[in-house]
Amino acid sequence: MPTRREFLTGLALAPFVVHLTATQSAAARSVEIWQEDHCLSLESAMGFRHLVSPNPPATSFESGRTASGSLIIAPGIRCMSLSIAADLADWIHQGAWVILESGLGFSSRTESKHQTDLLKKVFGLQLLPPVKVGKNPAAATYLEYTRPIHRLVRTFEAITPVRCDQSEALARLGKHSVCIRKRIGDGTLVFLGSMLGPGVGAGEREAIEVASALVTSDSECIFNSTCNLVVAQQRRNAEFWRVRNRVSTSANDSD
Amino acid sequence: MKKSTGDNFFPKAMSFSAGLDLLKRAGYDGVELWLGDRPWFQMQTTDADLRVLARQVRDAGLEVSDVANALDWQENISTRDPAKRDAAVRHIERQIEAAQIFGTDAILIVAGLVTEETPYNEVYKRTVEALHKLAEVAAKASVKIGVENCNSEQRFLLSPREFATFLDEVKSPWVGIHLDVGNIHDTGFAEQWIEIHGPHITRIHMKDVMKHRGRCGDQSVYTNIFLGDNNWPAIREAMRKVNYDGWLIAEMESRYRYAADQQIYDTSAALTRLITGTF
Repeated sequence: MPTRREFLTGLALAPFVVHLTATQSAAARSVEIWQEDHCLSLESAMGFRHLVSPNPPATSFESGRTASGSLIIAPGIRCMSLSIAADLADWIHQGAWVILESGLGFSSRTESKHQTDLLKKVFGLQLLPPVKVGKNPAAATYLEYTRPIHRLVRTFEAITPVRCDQSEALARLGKHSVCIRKRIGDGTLVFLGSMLGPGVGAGEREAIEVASALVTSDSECIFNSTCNLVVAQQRRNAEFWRVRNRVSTSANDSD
Repeated sequence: MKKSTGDNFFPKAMSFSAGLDLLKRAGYDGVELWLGDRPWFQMQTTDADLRVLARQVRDAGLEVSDVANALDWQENISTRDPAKRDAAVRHIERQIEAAQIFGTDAILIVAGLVTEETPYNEVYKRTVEALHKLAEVAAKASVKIGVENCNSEQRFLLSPREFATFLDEVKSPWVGIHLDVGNIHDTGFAEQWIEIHGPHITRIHMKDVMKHRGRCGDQSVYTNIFLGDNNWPAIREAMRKVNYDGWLIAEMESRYRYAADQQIYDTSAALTRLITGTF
């Protein structure tokens, strides 16, 4: 049985699903990308920006600011402050969809421990210590997303495993849950324990498809197995990928 | 996934039907037929004779996985000589006709040969133009043209991204890549070629490569599956990632001095281990 929110979202989108492109769909949800001041976050932010149109300005984290987006993407997070985390948590409670992408695999042990404690305190995330993905590609090359769509996506050198209920898991690497979706208040937190944005920016097909499914405004529906918008979503993903391929070079240049 | 290998891998002097029986006994599902290699499949072979070959394949309990050719090295669509270029177009069109007769939907070609005399830019332009025309023929026949990556031998389309750009310029769903995981040598990683080309892969050629040997006189860089430097678990995972579930076609150099048929059995067993992920 869909929730009221899912029902309304589906109702609002129904007339458009056949003709919408991914970018139009993403535009239906106002998006903000909040990046940190290091190259990982910038690189990932650039990837996510490709998915949303019009491209939102990437802004630095700033405590106390008011979020206007119903989707907030925080790419490659390594040094989030308590006050910013608290702001994000408030917005999620009020209904925002927040994608928190971990960059902790590249942090020092101390930084990583500090962030892990903070994310547990504010969002209830139970992160395990980051794991460097082994050199043997057979052992750990691809993260297996099972939701919102089933795809294998390359890991980004290091992953941040997370403990979760089975129902919350989006992607796994071997025995580890690495990406999860967690409902908080009226909103949703998506935690990505392996960076997705750089692959999107580099034109990785499956990374684009997964990220696109995560940021489009009917993602809520996709998580509901009874929702029939999955096919429309996949069509839009395919269309996005085609367009993205065509314009990737110029878009990269302009960024 | 299904296993195949070429009729040019049959032990020397073995007949077509004996070769097919050997493949069946060794556990293959199909055979790749090479235009211009063995006597039973030449440019002058008639349609009626091709139908006989098709029936023999069926009677042996096999399928034709695809139609390759051994002629592109002498007659290429990128050469300056118009007569050779026309000949190249003719034999590719013949491959397409043969594919229809054999009931398969893919052919393999080597498109573009860069030499000291024929420079890269010329080869690129001519090859794209020729493929624009051949794509129309392929579309009408519903047969895909798989352009093989013969990186080192062709000196052409050396990186996966350049190959992707090339296919974008050809811009036809009827032209893709016949990916050879052994041909990449030490210029890259086969699993990344698979990832990048994904849905554009028509077929995959299987062989191993000794990346550090390089070409040196008569010494080949190629070897049996699992004996070389390819990362086979990674190749298998990449195929899984892009949902490749098509033909795996062993393209081996005959290496066994004695009991040549044993190489066919060993290759089949290696393909099975690869498919099942038993490493």
